[in-house]
Amino acid sequence: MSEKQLPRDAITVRGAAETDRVALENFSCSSGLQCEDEVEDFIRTQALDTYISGVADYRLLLAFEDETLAGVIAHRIDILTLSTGGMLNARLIQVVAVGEEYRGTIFEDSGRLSDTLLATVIDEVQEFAENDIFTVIVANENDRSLAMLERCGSWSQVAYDQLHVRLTGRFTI
Amino acid sequence: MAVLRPSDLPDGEGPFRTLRAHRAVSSGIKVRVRGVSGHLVGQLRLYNSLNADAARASRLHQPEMAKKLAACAERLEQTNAAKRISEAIASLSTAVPADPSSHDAPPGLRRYARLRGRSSWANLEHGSLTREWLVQSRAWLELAGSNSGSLADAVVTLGNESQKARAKILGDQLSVTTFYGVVHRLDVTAAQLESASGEAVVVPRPELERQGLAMVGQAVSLLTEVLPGGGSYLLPMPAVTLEPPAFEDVESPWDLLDPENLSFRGSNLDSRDSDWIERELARDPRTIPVAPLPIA
Repeated sequence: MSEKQLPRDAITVRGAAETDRVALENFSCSSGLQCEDEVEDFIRTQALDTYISGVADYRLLLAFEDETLAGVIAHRIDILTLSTGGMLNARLIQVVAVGEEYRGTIFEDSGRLSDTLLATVIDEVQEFAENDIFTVIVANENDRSLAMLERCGSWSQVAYDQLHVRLTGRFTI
Repeated sequence: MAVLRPSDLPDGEGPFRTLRAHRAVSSGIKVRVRGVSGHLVGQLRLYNSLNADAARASRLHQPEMAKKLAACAERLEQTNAAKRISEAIASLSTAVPADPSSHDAPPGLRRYARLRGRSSWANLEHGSLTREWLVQSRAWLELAGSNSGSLADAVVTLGNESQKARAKILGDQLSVTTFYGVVHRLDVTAAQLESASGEAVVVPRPELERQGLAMVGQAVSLLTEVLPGGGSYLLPMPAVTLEPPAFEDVESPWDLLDPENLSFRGSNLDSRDSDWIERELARDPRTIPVAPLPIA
């Protein structure tokens, strides 16, 4: 894992476009764990088409250092149905992925790239979300993601299935 | 030691030596732990759980009972089941790197090291954390993987024999209860354990974190003792589930769409999750400690 240091303005974030297809198809973020392979596979094969299809509210943001894709963020609406029958709009953060060569990157004046990408999602969602509830589904073995999420805030965690946990939290910037 | 002195921080070897001098603790089983390169990481000793009961009896000034319990523990540590476990640990540990944070470390060990690293008195070197993890039955079963059948049998056998001995010696002493459950939910300050029968208990999250148990799905044996002077204390200990819990069919996290409606799938919350959300909505949201990047 590199301990790259970058100035904050070295990374730019924008919405994805068709012209990013090759960069996404070649994006590597897995260290070999199966759960990380799944994230990488999704980014390479499905993320862009899902975004471009315009299916409601899906957002795909890409972080670049010059022309190199350094990180990928994806989020979409999540409707929470309460046991009382009521419903809440939440936002499911589906992907916060840092490219293999950017793993461990920290900004010279503030925080890790991974944590900053998570904050960027939350900031964007707050622009238009009805409330500030976020959900994430993480594989139990994905210590890296769990550690990142717990660094950035306090979540409620509950089992999603045998292999995954769902985290829910309310956050602001 | 936590059972001997519930309100104290660990304080050297003195109390343990005192127990030994009064024959209130068994000899334990020595296991040499070798890492992936074959080098000796260290050695650990496994002690039968009856030693915890013996420590409690010592604390309550019941030396004869403490000796009986320790003697039973000593006997159980000589059984074939105990031997099978100690041999399995010695063998399985050769696949474990000494550094629990290394990429090659088993997921359970990495998680344990991360959780224990938050403990207030944790200043443990890597080998020590690895040895600590290896003492737990969940570690053995994770490492054994699909070959865990006979190991699981040994764990169950020893557990049953210990329970029989405990019941015989302690009789109807009601000051201690043990709740067996799995961590169902973790919140900021609390953890909810659920038993196989659906009974739920809430414990402070830091109590689980200190033992490296604060993760959803972790099996926990929660010992609760009513103290003679009033009050009670909780001691969560690692346990293992031999049958994984059943889940309703849920969609893959990558499966976004309901193909019939072409709409995004939502999440159905049970009553406890719903209650948690309602409580959260009554509070202020938490502030992320990192600044976002602007989006072009």
